[in-house]
Amino acid sequence: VNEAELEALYCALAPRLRRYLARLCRSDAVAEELVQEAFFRFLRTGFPGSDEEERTRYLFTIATNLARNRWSRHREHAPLESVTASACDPAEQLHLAVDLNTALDKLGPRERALVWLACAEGYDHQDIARILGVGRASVRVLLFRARRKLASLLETGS
Amino acid sequence: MNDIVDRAFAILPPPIPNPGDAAAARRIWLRARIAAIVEDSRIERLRANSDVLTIAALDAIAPLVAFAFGAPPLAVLAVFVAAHAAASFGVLQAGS
Repeated sequence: VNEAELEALYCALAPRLRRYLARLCRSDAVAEELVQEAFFRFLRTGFPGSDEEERTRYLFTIATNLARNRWSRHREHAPLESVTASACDPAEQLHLAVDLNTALDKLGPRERALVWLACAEGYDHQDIARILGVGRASVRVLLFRARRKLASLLETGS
Repeated sequence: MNDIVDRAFAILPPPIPNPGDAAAARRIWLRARIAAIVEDSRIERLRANSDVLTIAALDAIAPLVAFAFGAPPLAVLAVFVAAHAAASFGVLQAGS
């Protein structure tokens, strides 16, 4: 990866990683710091592949590991930043966005990561298993439980 | 069950690019380059230290062995010189 390629990759992927990490770590500032660290480690490890999907998955894996290290170091209880819905959204959608925000806050870090990777990033079970470093069969079970928990939180208005 | 989850995620706004992303990428690139240079110089220093230790150890061991076998002082000196030369030559060969 040369400088121009890194810049293009960063501009394309950093927003997605930032959003994911902000959910996981409950802080925009921490997310920004971890995104930069993830890209730095990506450069230092010299990822050999050129497949864009592989690179993306690899960066999500690094980001998840960094977030995981952070969870184990600090037990942060900062409130989740609000999920901003666009101004033209109907009131019901706005409520749902706020509810999602609160509901995600009530999930554990791993559940948040699972649900986010599946529902927001659209990764399949195999990709999630690789990113989170768990078995594919476990992902299916854990994701099912996490989605059920999230749905119940959303239905009861968190 | 899944319907409400899917609906909640469907209305999430797309990820917002940060105007400072390009500058951040350039900073990361520079940081990685500097880290690589620092690491190289650290490895170089470690290698040099290790070479010095190897030569010093051989310089000390070879005359002691010769002395233990009852060699005369002149022979001990010769062994010391030979061991030093051999160790230095070996280290230079390994480094090149």
